[in-house]
Amino acid sequence: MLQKKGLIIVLSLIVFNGFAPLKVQAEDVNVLFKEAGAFYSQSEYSSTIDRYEKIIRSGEESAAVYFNLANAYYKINMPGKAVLNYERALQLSPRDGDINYNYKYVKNRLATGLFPEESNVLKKVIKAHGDFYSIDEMVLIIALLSGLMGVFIVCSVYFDFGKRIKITAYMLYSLLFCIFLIGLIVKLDMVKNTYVVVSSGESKFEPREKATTYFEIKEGELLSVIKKQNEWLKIKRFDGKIGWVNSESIEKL
Amino acid sequence: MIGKMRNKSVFLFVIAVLFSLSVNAFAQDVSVEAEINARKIVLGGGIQLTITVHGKKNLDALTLPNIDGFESSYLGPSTKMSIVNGQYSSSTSFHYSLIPLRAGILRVPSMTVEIDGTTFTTNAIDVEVLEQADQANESNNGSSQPFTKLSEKIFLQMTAEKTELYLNEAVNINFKLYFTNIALVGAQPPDFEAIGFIVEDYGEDKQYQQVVNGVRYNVIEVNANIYPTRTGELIVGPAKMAATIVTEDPGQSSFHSRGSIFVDDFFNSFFKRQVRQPIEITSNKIDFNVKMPPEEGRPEGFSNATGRFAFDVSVSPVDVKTGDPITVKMKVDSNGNVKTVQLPSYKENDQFKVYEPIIKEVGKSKYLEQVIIPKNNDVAQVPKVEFSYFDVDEKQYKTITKGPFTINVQDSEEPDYVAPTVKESISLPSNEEKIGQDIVFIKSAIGPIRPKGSALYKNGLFYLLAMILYAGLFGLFIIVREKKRFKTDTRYARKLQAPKYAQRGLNKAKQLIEQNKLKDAYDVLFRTMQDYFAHKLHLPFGSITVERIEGFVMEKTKNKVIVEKLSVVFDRCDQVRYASVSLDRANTTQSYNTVIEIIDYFERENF
Repeated sequence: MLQKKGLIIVLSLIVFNGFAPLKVQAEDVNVLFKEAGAFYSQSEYSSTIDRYEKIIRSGEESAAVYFNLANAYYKINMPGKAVLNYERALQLSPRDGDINYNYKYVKNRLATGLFPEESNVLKKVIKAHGDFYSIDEMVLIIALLSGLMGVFIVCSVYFDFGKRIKITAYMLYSLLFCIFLIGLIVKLDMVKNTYVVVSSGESKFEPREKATTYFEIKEGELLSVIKKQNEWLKIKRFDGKIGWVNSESIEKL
Repeated sequence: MIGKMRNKSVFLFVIAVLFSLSVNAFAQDVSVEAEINARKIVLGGGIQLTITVHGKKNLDALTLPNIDGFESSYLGPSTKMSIVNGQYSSSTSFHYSLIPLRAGILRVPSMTVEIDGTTFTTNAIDVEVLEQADQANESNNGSSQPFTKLSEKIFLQMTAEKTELYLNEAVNINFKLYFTNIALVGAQPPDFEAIGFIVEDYGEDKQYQQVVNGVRYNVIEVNANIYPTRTGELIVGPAKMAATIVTEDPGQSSFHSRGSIFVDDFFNSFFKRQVRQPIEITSNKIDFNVKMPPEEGRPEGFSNATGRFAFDVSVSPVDVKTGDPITVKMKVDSNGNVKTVQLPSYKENDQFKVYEPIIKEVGKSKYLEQVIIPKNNDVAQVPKVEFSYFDVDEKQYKTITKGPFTINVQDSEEPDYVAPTVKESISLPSNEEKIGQDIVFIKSAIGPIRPKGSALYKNGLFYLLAMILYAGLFGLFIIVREKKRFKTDTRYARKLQAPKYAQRGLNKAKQLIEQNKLKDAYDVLFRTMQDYFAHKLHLPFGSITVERIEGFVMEKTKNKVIVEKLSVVFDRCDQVRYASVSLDRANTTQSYNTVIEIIDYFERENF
C-alpha cells in the first residue's frame, strides 16, 4: 500500500514538474501576444514585431503569430518579411481566409511576375492540393486512411464482403493513398527548399561579391536553393535561371 | 643514319595552263597543294607525290622538275567532282612516283605553279629514308612506314581568335581533330575546363580533309563561344576528346590462307573481326588576359555589355485610355555575348504603373517585353530608353537612344487608377461595392500553439500510436479470421477440438484408475484414442482402426517407435475389452501414460 502511494507521488512530481515550465512559457507567450496586439492597434509596428519575434524565438509558433507578424512587416513596408511570414502562417493553417486574403493582397502589391501562374495542369492540381492541406493534416489523413483500410479488411473477413466491394475499396484506398502521399512529398520538398527574398539584391554568376551580376532578385520573391557554399547560396528562380546570392538576402520558409 | 639534304633552294617550275574546254560555269576559288602518301620509307621503296589543283579541271599535265635525292616519274592524272550541300567543287590531281636514291632526310621542295596568271606555291615536305638495316628495327610490312607515333596520326588543336579580351566579350574557340590512316568512330564533342568563363553550346561540326605538312588529314571541326565573367589571367583547356579507333584483329589473319577464296578483299573485310579501342585526345591550352572596359567615358547606364550590338524598341498601342496597358518591346542583337546583357526597363513613377518585364533569349538575340499603364491623361509620351555597350573593335563606349515615344492617352470611362485588389477566395456581393484596399486586421486569439518546427511526421509518439493501432488491427484480423475458419471449416474445427476431447477422456480414465475400475479405464482409453484420431484425421469414429492410424503415422513421420507404442496400447485395450486377462493397476497406469505420450507427440508434431 505504501509502495503504491509512493509511486503515485513520484509520478505526480514527474508529471507536474514536466509540465510546469511549459505552463509558465505558455503564459509568457500569451502576455507577449496581447502586448503585441496592443502595440499594433497603436500603429507601433516596431514594438509589435519585437514581441512577435520574441514569441518565435522562445520556440513557440502559431498561425496567428505569423499572420500578425506578417501584417506588421507589411505596415512598415517590408514585403519580403511579410511574404515569408504569410507563407509560414499558411503552412500551419492553409485554409484560413484572413491569411489567404492578406497574402494575395500583398502579392498583388508586389511587382508582377514574382509569382507566376503554373501552366502545367498536373503541377497546378498538385500545387492546389498541397495548398489546401497542411503537412500535419496530410500525415494524419494518410495514417487514418491506412487505419480505415485495416478496419475494412477485418470487416471484410467477418462479414465476407463480395469481390466487387473489396476491389472497389482497395482501388479507392490506393488512389487516395497515392494522392496524399505525392502531395505530402511535394509539400515537404517545397518547404525544405523554398526561400523568400527578404531584401532585394543581385544574383551573381559566381559565389563572390565582385562577380558579374546575372539577374536581380526582388523582395518577396520565392526561390529554391540548390546548394550552399559558406555564406553563398546557389538559387534557382521561377524562370529557371540559376545564380548565387548572399545568404543574408534570403530566408528559409 | 639520317643525313641532311644539302640543297635547300626552292625549285621553280612554271606551268602554262590552258583551258582546253569551255569556261567553267561554276566560279570557284583556285588553290594548289602537294601531298605524299608516306613520311618514312626504306631505301629501295617508293612514295607517291600528288599535286592537286582545286577549282580547276581538264588541266594539262604538270612537268615535275628534278628533285635532289629522288628519281621521279609521272604516273597520271585524276579528276574529282563533288556537290556537298549544293556547293559544287572540282579538283585535278597529278600523281608522281618518287624513288629515293640515298638514305637520310630528303626534302621535296616547295614548288610554284602558275594558273591563269596567278602564282601558287606548294609547301615543302620532308621524307625520312631508312637503310635496309634500320628497317629491321621497324615493324614494317611494306616498303613504306607512314607514321611511327599515334600522336602523328591523330591530334587535337584548340585555337582562339584572340587572347586579349574584355570582360563579357565573346570569343570563338575552334577545335580541330586531325586524323589520318586510322578509322575513327564515335568522336565526342571536346570537354574542357574554362574557369572564369561561361561556355555556350557547340555549333554544328564540320568534316573535311586538309593537307598538313604534306600529309592529308581528315578533320572534324567544331566551334564554341565562350565569354569571361572575371578579369585577370585565365586559362582555357586543355580540351579532351573521346573517340574510338577501329582496327582489324591481328589474331584473325591466320584464318585466311594464301590462295584461298577468302584472300579476296571483300571476304577479308567481311570476316575479319574489328577491335575497338577507346582513346582520349588532349589538346593544347590557351592563356587569356581579361581586363575591364576602361573607366574613362563609361556611360551611366552601362551594364557590362561588351561587343557589338543592335538595339531596337517599339511601343504599342499608342492610342490608349487611362489604365489601359501599353506594351514596350525591346530587342538587342549581337554576334557575341547577349547572355550577360541587361536590358534597360522602366521603373514605376507618377506617370506610369509598371509591371515586371519578361525577358527571353533566342539565339543571339535578347528580348524584353514590359507592360506599362499610364495613370492619367496628362501623359503624352513614353520616356526615351538608352542602351550602352563597349565596342571592342573601336575600343570605345557607345550609347543607342530610342524614343521618347509619343502616345495619346484619353480619359477612361472607369474611375481613376486604383491599387490592385484581391478577387479570389473572398465572396463579394455582386453590386458595385468597392472592395478592400488594405490588409485584414490582426488576429486577437493566438490559436493553437506548438513548438517551432514540430510536425506530426517528426513525432515519435505519433508513430508509436500508429504502430499500436495497426498491430491491434492485425491482431483483430488474425482472431476474426480464425473464428471464421473455425465456423466454416469442419476439418479445421475438428482438428482443433481433438486435444480438448482427448483431455476430457484422459481425465475420466485417470478417475477410473484411481477408483480401481481398470476394465472401464481401458474402455475409456480406447474411446479417447478413437475420438482423438477421428477428430484429428477428420474421419468417422467407426472407421478408426489401428492399421489406418499406423498407415497415417508412417506416411507422415515414419516414426516406428510411436507406431509400436500405438500398436501395443490398442492390442492391450482389445485384450482387456474382449478377452479375460488379468488386470493390475501398474499396467493400466502405464497404458494411460503411453496414451498421453502418443497424444502429446501428435500435438507436438502438429499433424
